[in-house]
Parts: sequence; C-alpha cells; structure tokens
Amino acid sequence: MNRRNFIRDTFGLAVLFLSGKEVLALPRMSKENDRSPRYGMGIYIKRCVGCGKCVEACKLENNVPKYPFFYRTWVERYTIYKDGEVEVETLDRSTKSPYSVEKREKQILRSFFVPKLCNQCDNPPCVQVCPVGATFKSPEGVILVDPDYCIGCRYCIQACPYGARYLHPEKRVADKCTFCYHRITKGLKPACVEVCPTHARVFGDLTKRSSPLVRFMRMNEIHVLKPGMNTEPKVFYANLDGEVR
Amino acid sequence: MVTPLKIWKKIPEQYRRLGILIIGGFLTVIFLREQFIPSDFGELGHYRTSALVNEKNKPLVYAGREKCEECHEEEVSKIENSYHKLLSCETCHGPGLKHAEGEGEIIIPRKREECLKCHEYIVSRPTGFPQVDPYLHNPPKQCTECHNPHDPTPPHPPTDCQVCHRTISSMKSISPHASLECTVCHKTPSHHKFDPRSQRPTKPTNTDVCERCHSETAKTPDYIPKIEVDSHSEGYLCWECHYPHSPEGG
Repeated sequence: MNRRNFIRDTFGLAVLFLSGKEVLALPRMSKENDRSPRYGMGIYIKRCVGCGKCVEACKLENNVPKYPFFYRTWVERYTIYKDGEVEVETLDRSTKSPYSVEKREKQILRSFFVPKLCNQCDNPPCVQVCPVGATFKSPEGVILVDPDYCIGCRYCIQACPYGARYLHPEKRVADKCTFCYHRITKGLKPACVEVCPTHARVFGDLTKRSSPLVRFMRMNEIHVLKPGMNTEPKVFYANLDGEVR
Repeated sequence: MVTPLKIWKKIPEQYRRLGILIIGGFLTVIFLREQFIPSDFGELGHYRTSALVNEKNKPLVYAGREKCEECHEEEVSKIENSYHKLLSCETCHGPGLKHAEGEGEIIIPRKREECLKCHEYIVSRPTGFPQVDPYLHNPPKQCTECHNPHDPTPPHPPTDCQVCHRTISSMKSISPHASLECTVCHKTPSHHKFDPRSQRPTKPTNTDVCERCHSETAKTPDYIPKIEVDSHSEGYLCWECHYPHSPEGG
C-alpha cells in the first residue's frame, strides 16, 4: 500500500462512517417532528390578585418542600415608587398576611403582581449545560429533570436566567416546574392553572388554533421575559410592565 | 488459498501489536458504554425514556373541576351563575382527588382569613377587583354570615349614592373617609335622584369642609392628620393633591 492509496482509503472510510451516522440519525429526527402538542402558558398580569393559591397548589401537587425559597412557581410583587425606586418582593403565604395594608413611607406610583415559573424555553440554557443528560426537552417541549440520573452539580441552576430551578433539599437533585407533566399528559390542566381564581393563567397547546392559549396570544399584547437572552420562552405575559425583569 | 491467518502473518509485527492494542481499546470503550449508559438512553433524545414515563406516572393530587361536577351538581349550577363562576372548586376546598375517590375529607373554609386571601385590600391588586379593608368591613362577623361563597353577591343591595356611584363608593369604603356620609362634602338636592343631570350635587368650592377636621385648631381626635392651614401649600386647593375618595388618602 502506497501513501496515495492509504490516504484515499482512510478518507473514503471516514466519509462512509460519517454519512452512515447521518443516515442512522434521520429516523430519530422525524420521530421528534411528529405532530405532538407544544405546550405553553399565558399570564394576564392585570388579572393576578396575588392570592398565592397557585403557589400553594403547586407545592401540594408536586411535593415541593414547604419551606420558603423552594418554589416551582412563585408570585412577585412589583412596587414602583414616585422617586423611581423599584421594589420586588416574593410572596410567601407561610408568614402571616404579607401584603396587609401597610403604611409605606414613600408614595407608590404603581404596583402589581407577576406570577413566575419555569419559562420552558425552546432554546433552554439549562439543558445545554447538563453534563450527564439528566435534564431534557420532552417531545411536548416541556423541560424535565430526571431525578434518578441527576448528579446534583447545580450547573443548570446557575445557567437558568429566570431563577426557576432549585436544589431539592432532601433528594439533592435539581428540581423545577414540569407544567405538571403528569396532569397535562392526562388531559388535565396544571395545578396552578386549575386553582387560579381569576383565570390569570392560561394553559394550552401552541399548535392548535382552538386552544385557549392561542386565543390569548391573538387577543393580547404579548411579551416574554428577557427576550434578549434568546431563550425563546413559552410562557407569555400580557400587559407586562417595562420594569419587570 | 488466501486465509485470514496468512494475511495476518504478512502484516509486520509492530503493526500487529498496535492493531491488537487499538482493537482492545475499542472493545473496552464499547463494553464500558454498555455498562454505564442505561439501555433506554437516547431513544427519543439525549435522555432516558423511562424518565419521561416516571414523570407521567406521578400521583395526582388535584382532581379538576369536571370531577367535582360529577357528584355536586347542585353547587355547580349555583356557582355557575354567580361572581365566583371562574373559580375551581379546589381553589377554596383544597386538593380533592382523594375525596373524589371515596376516601379523605374536603376542607370547608369558614374563617375570614380564607376569604381575605383574595379580597383583602392590597394596593397592588387590580382596580375594580372586589376588596375590603378587614378592619372596617364588619370586623367581628364571619364572611359567610352575609355572603354565600357559592353566590357571593352581597345580600343587601346597594342603597343611596352607591346605586349609581358604585366605583366611588367602593373606593371610599376602604379609604380613611369610609365612615363619612357623601352628604358631608356634597350637598345633594332632593330631586337629584329623579333628575340627575339638571339637579346636580355640589362639590366643595373652598377648603372649609376639609379644615373642619384637618386644621390644626380642629377639635377632632388625634389620629386624624392635621396641618397648619395658612402655610400648607399656599395657593392650592386640598383636592388638587389629595383625592378624598382614595384608599391611600391622596
């Protein structure tokens, strides 16, 4: 075998190997493009009364630790004062009446509640950084964590621009909102959507024109959180104030 | 006859040894991959398929409103025509799947705090959402004494000014001026109710009505804020800065 033949054969084999890999990968791609639903959520900021029922229901449905700071969904209160200062508080119903008619020293310009949860990004930074493939995008576009495979390295918690993940204090693995995957796959609404008294949360399939979410997106001015991060969130906000981060 | 053994013998020994090493390494990698990567990894994507199944099989806690409707038709038909029609049963009664399956009790909230979770006045709540100041709105009573949660329309229909001036009166009811009658500041001609456009109530034209309670010399209780009338923002009328109906008191 001379040098020319050796190079030719090696090159040929490499091409064959790579193209073979591509061919094998193709059926897998088409499986993902199946007409499965793509779930998303819409939130009417103007309807949220900050009652905290969604947070309570989420914790019960998903066995989230009862202590504060561990949330799959939470409600933030924004207060913008006349001098331009912005205050953000997180609702916590376990402490007594967090929002009672308190006398503030400064005058309030406007104030409102913003429910938050995992944005189920279409381009999720948390999935990209997971070193073991324990967090992934389901065929429905929901970002899930595999608790038996997660090594608890916290890399995804760092990577999430929305602070939607936490380390489960007992299981020592990352945990996050799953859109109540066990409910939505049975045709039920996520627990937070189910209990919201003012229907401030809308859940639905983005691919179906008849879904309440698509209607929500047709009828409202829509904004997402941190669009500059290029994460393509699937949680959409109507009437979002410019101060919300 | 060319046998594989003869070909093997033809290859120089140094290449043969290298070949064995490479093949051995290759096999070790394959063996370790088989050992460490779960069999269902990568079937649908870069994850275990069983993780998806586990997630799907998690136990439910909330039943959903449709489930409640199967048994509680009476309550459902009542709530459907009330202001609480958007509510799910489990919003107030708590998770109910166990109850729907025949075991476990459902919560029946009766305390004031339960209603106040949504209906306590908070500055951040949307304008127009029905709210009360718990200290001014019939403090010793339970909400359920007057309002049926399945049909919460107040049992006493609005009277007097409230009938037409609903927004202002509900705003005033949670303001520091809640205890004042409308007629304290607005003189209302008796025919206003029948001919509201031509018989208009008066609005204060000077600040005397405010000064009656808020001037430094007024003999009113201490918790009412007082100002020195002559030096406090001279040249302006009180209501140019303070809106008297507002809960924040301006």
